[in-house]
Order: sequence, then C-alpha cells, then structure tokens
Amino acid sequence: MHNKIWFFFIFWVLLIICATVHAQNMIDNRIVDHIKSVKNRVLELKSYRYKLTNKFMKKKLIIDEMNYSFSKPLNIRIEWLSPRSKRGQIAVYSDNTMKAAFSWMPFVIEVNPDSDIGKGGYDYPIYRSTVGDLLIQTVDDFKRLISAKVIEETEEYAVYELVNDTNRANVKIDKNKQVPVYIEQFDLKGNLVNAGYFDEFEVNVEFEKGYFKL
Amino acid sequence: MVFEIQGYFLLVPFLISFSLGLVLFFRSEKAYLKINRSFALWVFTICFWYMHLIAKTAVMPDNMLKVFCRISLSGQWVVPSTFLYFVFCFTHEKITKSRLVLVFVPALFFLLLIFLDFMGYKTVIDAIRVNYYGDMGRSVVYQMYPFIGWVIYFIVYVCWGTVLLVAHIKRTTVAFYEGKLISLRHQSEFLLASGAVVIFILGLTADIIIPIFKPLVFPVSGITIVVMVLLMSYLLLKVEK
Repeated sequence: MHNKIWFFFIFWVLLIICATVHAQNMIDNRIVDHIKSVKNRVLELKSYRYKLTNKFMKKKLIIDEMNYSFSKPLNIRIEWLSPRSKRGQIAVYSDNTMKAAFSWMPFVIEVNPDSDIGKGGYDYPIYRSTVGDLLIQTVDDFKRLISAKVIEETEEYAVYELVNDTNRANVKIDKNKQVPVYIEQFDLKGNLVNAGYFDEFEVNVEFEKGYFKL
Repeated sequence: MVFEIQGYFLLVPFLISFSLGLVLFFRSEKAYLKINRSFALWVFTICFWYMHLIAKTAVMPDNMLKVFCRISLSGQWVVPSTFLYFVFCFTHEKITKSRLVLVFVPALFFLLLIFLDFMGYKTVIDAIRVNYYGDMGRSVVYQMYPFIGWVIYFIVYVCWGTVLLVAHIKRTTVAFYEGKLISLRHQSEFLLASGAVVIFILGLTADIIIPIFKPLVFPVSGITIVVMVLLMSYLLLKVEK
C-alpha cells in the first residue's frame, strides 16, 4: 500500500512537470519578447496622440470614441467624440490635478481623478489610462500565461493571441511604428470584456503650449 | 463659409431680429426716439447672441472660431444691461447718472474681460471643443468664475428689468388700475410683455437643462429669442399708436 502511494505521488509530480513543459512549449517566446519591446518603446515615447475607440462591457456594451493625447511626465488630454451624450466632454490631467468640462457643462471644474465622477464609468483613473499602462498590464499577465501564438502576420503588422487562466487577449502590433493597433480582451467563454483600438497613432507630437492646461 | 444645417436655420431669426432693430432705429417719431433707439440697441446685442450661436455651427479653424466667439461675446455678454436700459426708457424711469453707471458698469467689466481674452490672458474662453451640431460644429468652454459671474449678472438684471416692465404695464393697464380682471383681451400689452420675457427665460433655461439629460440638436433659445423680439416690437408699435 505504501509503495502504491509513493508510485501515485511520483506519477502526479511527473504529470505536473510534463504539463508545465507542454504549456511552456505553447508559449512562443518571440511573441512575449515582441510585446515587451513594444511596451518599452511606448514607455520611452515623449508624447503621442491617437484616436481611441474604447469598448467595454458593463451591463451592456459601451463604446466611447475619443482623441487621446499624452506627453511626459504625465500629461493627458482626452476629448470625447461619441457617444452623443459625451460628445464635447474634455478631461485633462496635469501636475497631479484633473480638470474636466462635461459635455453639458459650459465651464471647467476640478475633479478628484479617483472618484466615481473622475473615473467616468471606467474601472481605472485617468492617470492609469495610457496605452503604456495597458501594455504594462498585458505584460504583467504574462506570469499567468498559458499560451501565446501568432494568429496573423504580415510585413506591416502582427496579431497575437495570448491566453491565461482567466482571459484571452488579442493584440495587434504595427511593426513599423512599434505601437499597438488594438488590444482586445475576452473571457474564457469568448465574450468581449474590453477593447482598445488605437487609430491614427502619432508619436513624438509637438503640442502647443498650454494644451494640457484647462 | 460653410455651416452645419443649424447655422442656416439660425440665419433666419438673426435676420428678422436685425431687420426689426433697424426698423425701430430709424423710426423718426421724436416722442418715441429714445425708446426705439434703446430697443434697437438691445436687439443689436441680441444679434451678437445669434452670431455666437451661428459661429458654433461654422466650419472654421479653432483659432478663427475663438476670434469670432470673442467678437460675438462682446455683444452677447452685455444683453442684460441693454435690456435693463431699454426697460428704463420704456417705463419712463428717470435715468440718473448713478443709474446709468449701475446699468452699464457690469457690462464694461465683462467687456474688459473679453478684451483681456483677446490679448491672450484666457480670462473668458478656456478651450474649444466639439459640440452636438453636426460633425464640424465647435463651441467654447468658459472660465468658470467669469461665466458664473455673468449668469448671476444676467439673472439679476433680467429679473430687475422684468419686474419694472411688468409693474409698469400693470400700472398703466386700465383693468388692473381699477383692480378688476375684466377680460384678458384688454390686457394684451401686459400679457405680451410678460409672455415675451417668460419665453426668453424658458428658452435659455431649456438650453442649460436639456443637455444634462439629452444632447440638443438645435438651441431652443435660437427660436425663443426671436419670438421675444417679435412680441416686444409689436408691443412697442402698439403702445406708440
């Protein structure tokens, strides 16, 4: 009986080792390195701007379109284009202060970025909303990575699929600019949880003086 | 210059108001010259208000829009003073020097702010942003304190003017003078004046309140202001007969 228990234990350990090795083989390290290099490249950028389409699931699918601008050290300006209820809304974060002009409000007020009104329905504050933060989160999730594979690859871009124990992400990278084109996150049933589409990505933009001040 | 569709619609009330202002400005009855001129002054400042609404629908670069908005604000932001001045003239209130100062000093203060804004001090306009009027419409975001100051000035002066106007008409209407509500038809002046101001205030309130719940596709005040100007012009012409 004693031997049987030992046999079962050794068999279990070997099984786990085999599963781990197999899982490691499912992870293409080239993908991990590429995404890490894109993250480092984005974090090094002094300034950028893009048109962001943000999709996220609350009770229903919410789609926000906005012009997003960033400059170092941490200046952010977001101008909403849609939905119509938010069209014209501006939020600016600079010098650790957030100011906003809601679409229905003709003037600017200061808001706490960590408050519900400051987050504006999102789960994170404005100072954690940069594409750099999104990539940091994606790279952090590599610790729980089960598989990473190439879905599509051309000379201009590459689309990767990353799966961990709680979700699946599709990441499209612009190979020339070395910036993300989109990051989509699904639950393991395949339902969209959130997605960010980064169009017209411009890097090292010279913003006019006072652009990040309201 | 190209406008969003709302801009073309707003040109109609602008032209109606401007024409009425011109007609009353050039009316030559000496007895009513002061009233007519003060009315014309008020209507011309209201035309600046329309210019501001129209500018918000124009397709133009942000810097040019800022210039247009500053010019239109220089008329729009003195509307409370010109309204009160018109009411003083209409009600034959004695316009003393101190009263004149009281009427126009806030207007001069706001004009100074707009002038400083022209000089690049950001005293009135904070930013330019997209609005609900089509894809190209832009509007301005104001500095909070000057804007709230202007709203208070607007409410106080318009209420003051309305009270004076309505009290005057009530005083001069026979039915009320005798303390009897004989027939509403006999109090048309009273109804016209109060109705005009109520419509004006309701329009502006709607422009502020509605966007909190639902995006506006057309400024309500764009319609109500011209209705007020028409009613007031009619009242003026009726009284002068």
